[in-house]
Amino acid sequence: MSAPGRNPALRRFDSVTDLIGSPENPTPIVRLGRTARDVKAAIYLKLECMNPFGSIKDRTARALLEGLRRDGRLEGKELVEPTSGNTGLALAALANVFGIKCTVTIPDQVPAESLTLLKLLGATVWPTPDDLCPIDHPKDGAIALAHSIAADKNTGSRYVMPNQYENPDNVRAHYENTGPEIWAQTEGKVTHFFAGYGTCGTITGAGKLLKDRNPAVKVVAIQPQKNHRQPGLKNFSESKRPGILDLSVIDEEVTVPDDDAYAMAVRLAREEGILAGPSTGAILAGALDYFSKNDPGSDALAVAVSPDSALKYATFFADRVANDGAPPAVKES
Amino acid sequence: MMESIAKSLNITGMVCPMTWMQIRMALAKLSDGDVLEIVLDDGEPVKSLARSAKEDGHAIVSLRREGRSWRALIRKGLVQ
Repeated sequence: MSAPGRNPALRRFDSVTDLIGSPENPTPIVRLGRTARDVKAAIYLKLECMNPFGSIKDRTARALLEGLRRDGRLEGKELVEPTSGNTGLALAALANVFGIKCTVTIPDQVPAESLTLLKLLGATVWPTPDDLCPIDHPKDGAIALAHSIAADKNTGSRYVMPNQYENPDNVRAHYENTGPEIWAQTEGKVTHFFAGYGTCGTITGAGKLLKDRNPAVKVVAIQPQKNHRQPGLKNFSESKRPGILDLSVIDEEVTVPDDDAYAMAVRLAREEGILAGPSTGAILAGALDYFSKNDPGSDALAVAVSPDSALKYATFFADRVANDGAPPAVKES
Repeated sequence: MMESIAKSLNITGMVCPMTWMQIRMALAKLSDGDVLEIVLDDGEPVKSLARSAKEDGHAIVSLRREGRSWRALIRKGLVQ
């Protein structure tokens, strides 16, 4: 008996790669309730944890590999890429689908969950001190190490580095997918878009698409405090600004401290039942801070990106909630 | 006096910062006071060696050119 064909309407696919978000198969947006009750705008979270490898970086990895194949740069090569975890996970998974090897350099402070998942996927992993190459940028050790692997005079030729920080295909992933999804899911009514500074593919790509459709859409970038613990986000006073960032798309920047980011992620769990990672907490905290200082106007509809879930950061959250959840003590007479 | 070498490392062909990453990994397996011998390329790898060793608290015991490469001895954890 032949297998039935691909049918996205029935959620039947031929490959795990087909599950990555696209206008045909968008990740959901969910309206916030209690966490946004004091805001006049309707705020929706776009839940990128619903991608098959658990984050928005599934889209980036797919586009990067499509680009390498299109340009004939992938044939016979192994991947090497610096990542805070999510891009590495997606690249390693897709590399397995395509039968190629993957090496990732990651900051040595990533949560144990990401490290274990990378090893589960069979990737070669280089945990890298942020200060490995302090001459350039004090928080970019993993990026510098990936470049040096690709530049090795003896073995470098066997690698290809997608380079999500400088590769326009990272922007394309969000201009052709994330952005159109948001436009369609809000029926063209989106007025504000919130995303984080990281590689800047999301905010540049989706932000530009939304502004192309409606120049009045406000695009707000969220950045973490310096020396932060918000994986995936970058503060550009201590990290190099990615070449793909188009500042003309950005209307405003909001800086969010670690405590606010984690507190908001905890609120999302306890007030909305949404298990979101620290970067989501930061982006939403930044959005609420923005609306506390800027009148959203009438009929405001905001979309905030939720890059991934809390599940990859259980050890980080353990530091924040270790003393919570104790059963009530019995009164002693 | 001849130094007693605890471990040798050839990192020719590698570029910064992989060079220092390999040195750090090798030093991590040694005890304070042990000497690591390193053969490395001219240029940025040898230029960054002294700076990185000092920042991490190790002592350069000797550094000499051998043709197109350099041979360095680093004593772990004992800046003098």
